[in-house]
Amino acid sequence: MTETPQELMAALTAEGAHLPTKTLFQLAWAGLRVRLARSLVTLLSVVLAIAYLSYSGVSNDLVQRLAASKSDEIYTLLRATGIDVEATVKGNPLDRWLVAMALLTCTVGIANAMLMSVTERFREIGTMKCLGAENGTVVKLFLIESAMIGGAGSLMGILVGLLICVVAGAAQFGRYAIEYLTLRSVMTYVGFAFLAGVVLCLIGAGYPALVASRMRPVEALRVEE
Amino acid sequence: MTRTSAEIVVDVQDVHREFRLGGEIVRALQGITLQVGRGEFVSIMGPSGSGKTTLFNMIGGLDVPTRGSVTLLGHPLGALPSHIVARLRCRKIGYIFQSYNLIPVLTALDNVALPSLLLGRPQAEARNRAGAQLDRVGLGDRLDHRPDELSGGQQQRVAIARAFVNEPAVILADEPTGNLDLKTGEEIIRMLSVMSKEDNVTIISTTHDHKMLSVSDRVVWVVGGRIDRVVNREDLQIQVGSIT
Repeated sequence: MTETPQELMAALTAEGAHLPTKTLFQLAWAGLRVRLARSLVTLLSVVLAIAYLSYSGVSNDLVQRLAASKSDEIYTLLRATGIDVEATVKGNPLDRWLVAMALLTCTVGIANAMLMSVTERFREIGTMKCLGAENGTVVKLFLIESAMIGGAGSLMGILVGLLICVVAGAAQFGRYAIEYLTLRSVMTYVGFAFLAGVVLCLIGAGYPALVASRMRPVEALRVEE
Repeated sequence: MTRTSAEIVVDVQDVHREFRLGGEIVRALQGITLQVGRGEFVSIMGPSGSGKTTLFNMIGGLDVPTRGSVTLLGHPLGALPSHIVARLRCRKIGYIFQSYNLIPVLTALDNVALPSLLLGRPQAEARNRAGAQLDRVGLGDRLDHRPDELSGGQQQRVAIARAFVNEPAVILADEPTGNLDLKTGEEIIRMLSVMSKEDNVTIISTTHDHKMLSVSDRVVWVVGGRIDRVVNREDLQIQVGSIT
């Protein structure tokens, strides 16, 4: 089987070396499992940040809806909880600030964890590049790994956030908490929180993935175990 | 089709490589010219620091010469964009490393299938090919073992299967027996030699290992970044005899 240089070049320009998504997921999943402890810590930071985000979103929405109810009974309840209704309706700057800080911390945590993962895997990445993996494949691998943490962490965070919201709401406002929560508004906040979680993880993983993909195979192979 | 160009698989022309280390310039390679034909088994020998690893990396397109050119299957590597070199490596070059370099989280089968997948072959076909190569190296019953569940010799056999899986033109082996004991090393060398004959694959191997000489068609000694001498197989027997 000998082909001319022209035939070979045609074949090389025609197709790229792309790993199927299934293999990329397998590698990413394995990467997370091998570094289980750190993956869990990173996951936890995402869970907490997203839980806070979805909790504050949904509970603010609830207070606004209760405030708009024009029912004396509900007003009494609201006053009893000591919530500054006016501030909540306008949007509490402290709340926003706290949410922003939580998300920022979570992004930095992801970036840090992924950078460690890149450093630990210098050799593996170098080997893959020797075998002919293109830079794009390496970037994808790290983004998938991070998106998996982001996705799982966000889902868990949303569940935790909603749970706290419902329990706290029920304790303060009784049945009104459930009555005034509309599925639609909850879904909007939940969707936003999920998206925020995944996007932040991708942002956090962007730089580490770039570092990994730009690494030259020779340098990677020089790393001794 | 020009037959002559098809016969020469690797063409290294007057390759120089300089590194800047601190303020000093280190001349790792100082004008190496070497041609390797299809199916040839070439060993590159030399003390550490002689530049043989640098030369080896040049041939694989992992490093770029400061001066001179490396041509693989008629393609000057220096003139190609890096993603095309990556694809060329995937399709035409197999790698074997001293420390095996298997992906620790993948099974033997998935490790061997990886280069095929990188080439864009469907999963089922890649796994079939991988299984067939693992059978060839005698690990047909170890498909689902992870690297850490295999001995050094077994890991290197997985690496050999991985190197052969895409039916490359050249296999680059960097000290393939460096981490193995005498007997296992011999097995690995014999396996490489037999498989390369069967597939008509060129093997270029850096080595310190004198066992390697008996299977080599040609031995190239590199000293101080230059080719010191080249010995063909027929002359080699006498030489080895005189050494031992």
